[in-house]
Amino acid sequence: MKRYSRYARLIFQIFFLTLFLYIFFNSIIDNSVFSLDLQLKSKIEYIFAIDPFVALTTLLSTYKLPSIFILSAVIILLTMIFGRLFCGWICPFGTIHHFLSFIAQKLKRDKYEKAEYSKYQNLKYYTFIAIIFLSIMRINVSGYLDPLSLLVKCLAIFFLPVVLIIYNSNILSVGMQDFLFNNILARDNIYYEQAALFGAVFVILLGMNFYRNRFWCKYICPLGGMLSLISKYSPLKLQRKAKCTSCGLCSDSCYADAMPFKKDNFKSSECMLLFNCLSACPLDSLYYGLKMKPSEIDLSKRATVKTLGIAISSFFIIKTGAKAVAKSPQLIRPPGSIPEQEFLKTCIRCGACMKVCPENFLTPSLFESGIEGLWTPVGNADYGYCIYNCNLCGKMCPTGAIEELSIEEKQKTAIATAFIDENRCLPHTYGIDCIVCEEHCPTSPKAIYFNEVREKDHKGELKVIKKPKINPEQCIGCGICQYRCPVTDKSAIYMTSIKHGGVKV
Amino acid sequence: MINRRGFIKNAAIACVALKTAAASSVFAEEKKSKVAISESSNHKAAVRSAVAMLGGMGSFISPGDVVAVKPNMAWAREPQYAANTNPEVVAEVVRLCFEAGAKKVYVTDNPCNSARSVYAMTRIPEYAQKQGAEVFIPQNRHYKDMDLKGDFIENWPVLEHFATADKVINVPVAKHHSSSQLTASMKNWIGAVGGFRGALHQNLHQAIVDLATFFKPTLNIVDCTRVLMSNGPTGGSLNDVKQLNKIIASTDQVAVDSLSAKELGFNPATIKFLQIANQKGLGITNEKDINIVYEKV
Repeated sequence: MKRYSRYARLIFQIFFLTLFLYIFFNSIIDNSVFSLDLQLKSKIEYIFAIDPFVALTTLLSTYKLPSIFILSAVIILLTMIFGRLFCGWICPFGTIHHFLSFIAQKLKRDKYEKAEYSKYQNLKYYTFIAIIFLSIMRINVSGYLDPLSLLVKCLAIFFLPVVLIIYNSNILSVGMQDFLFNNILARDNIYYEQAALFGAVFVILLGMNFYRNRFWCKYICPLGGMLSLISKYSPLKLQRKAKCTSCGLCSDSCYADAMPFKKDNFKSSECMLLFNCLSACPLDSLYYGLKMKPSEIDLSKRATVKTLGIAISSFFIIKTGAKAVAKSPQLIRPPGSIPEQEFLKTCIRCGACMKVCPENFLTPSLFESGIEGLWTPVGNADYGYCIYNCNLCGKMCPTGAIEELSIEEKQKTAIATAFIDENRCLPHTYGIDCIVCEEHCPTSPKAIYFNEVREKDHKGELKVIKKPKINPEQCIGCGICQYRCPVTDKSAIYMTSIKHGGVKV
Repeated sequence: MINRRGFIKNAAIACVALKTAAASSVFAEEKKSKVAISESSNHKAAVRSAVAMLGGMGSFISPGDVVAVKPNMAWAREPQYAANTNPEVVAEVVRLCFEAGAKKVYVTDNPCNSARSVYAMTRIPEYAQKQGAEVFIPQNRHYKDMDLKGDFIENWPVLEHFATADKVINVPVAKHHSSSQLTASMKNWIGAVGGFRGALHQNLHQAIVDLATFFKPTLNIVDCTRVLMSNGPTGGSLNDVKQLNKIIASTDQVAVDSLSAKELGFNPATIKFLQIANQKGLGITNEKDINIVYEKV
């Protein structure tokens, strides 16, 4: 029976990973029917429903708990009873790491070189504590290190463009291309300037499994740290019977480096209930059962104080690196975004809004909103635009950083204003007729109108030229004019973050 | 038995024969272009009668043909704003194609606004799907670089269904266009190409003629059931829309566009792309040289 417990774990891992991937990839618009309202086929926000870490930091930094996080109480409860069940059985990022560690084990030349418990595994507690300190100081950086947020982000910003490259490379059959388009991509304009950066982060994190099994989970993951701390008093733990000879085979097979019973100093808080040890034990002397003795977590006061120091200095670094909203022309937030200061605390940088944005408008920011705003969504009309009758980002935002607007409200919500660079605009500078921005403008009446002027064009011919002008009261900053402008390298019409051009408050 | 000498000889004879035959047929067609105009508040009936006046869909489509239907489906506007082809008209064309024995009918367009919104709001996909047409949003892979051999456009990505289908039926809407003055069948081909189309607008009239020369529609059925008289091509106000309840159909794109222009109150002689096309011999703009048949249903 015990030998099969790890297969049970494996089945759960596969189940939850499949469920995660299904929800993630299926969060697309159905392209086979053309109904009027845009709906996602599955709800990507529910991925975060089981994330107590993000729930806690959101609660601490915003004093609000979005209803979606209620399920995370179940994870806390499970951890209090069983230990780090989430890490070993549920977490999709953990499962991916586990799979790669498994490959790494198979590829290892020296199978007898076994990793031991390292005190640096405590690092995850300190990352957790530092993030909590920052949350108490009302800066929410959980999104950068939360495993679910990180996985969604890396898949959305890096992996989907990878799929697109394969899709576009014409190595697939037409049937496969149809499948990919209808079930995974749903759009073929996926481009993010930072995709390569996300790719590097993702590949490095995955690659670390070849250095140590489940490196991310053991050393860094703050959610793992949180659950370890919670599991300290969990009554169910791995135990040994009297017949154990302390041969150490269990420790050798442990991916979590929890050192079960090699020297009788089992770190039950490191144990992810992977149960490799149960099948490795030649004497069948291990079992999972009741034991009230709390786990030893050797957090030193000294290191905790250091962590506090790091958190406080990070606080000041982040705060001095802040940027005034009014002075950041590229800081174009999605429609429905709550005020910037609240937005930064509420957004968990999961990148889901960028994934679902059907015309590739939303991209991860770099420093448009200061250091604190790294990887929050900003609209970039060079590579896409905000669809006039779409409100998907507000519909699926898990924390409510982007509020859901009705289509009517959204169509009146200004997120930026268009400006014409008259030195580059074709009618203005060369006297050539071009109506592209005006014809694409979706508002009614249009925010772009023509000034008909009789003057010479660049060939010296006298004629009536239609020069586009902006009506700032109408413009909502959707960016389609910038995206479609024929002066492609640097559009002659461009968005900046001021609303209604400063004309209307 | 076919040997090389015999083959070359026969081929030469065939060439000469075909050449004479072709020349004589061109001579025979020196007549006027035929344009059918039908008027009815029942738009489906109007389509039927216009096609019937040209000899019925059966004279254009052979059983087993793959047909590509090109509506004007460019803007995220509801049908009543007349920014896109009337969905009923497209559906009726699809139906006529199937009645004539078409094997498969594709309906697609490269829209200007977000494809998904356009496909939903114009309602053309919904109506066409009901008639059994295959509707899809064009993706990058559906475009192939082709040599258009135009005076302005040379190599350009083309939505391949409109170049490779057995028969292509153009079902545009006639409307005002603030740059080209008129958009009907010839300008509709801008929607059959990909690439960065904003760049075509700097020499728009020549671009329209180049595209209309490249695509060879079997039939053009212009939707004048309701037309956008001003503020085109996108419109957005019902004040600009006028009910005409007409369908204008012809095999000659230039003739059909000239007559559509008149419906909108424009003089074809002032529309540059029509004049270029006329000079090039693509079709006829002068109303006197057009054989107009009219029917009110």
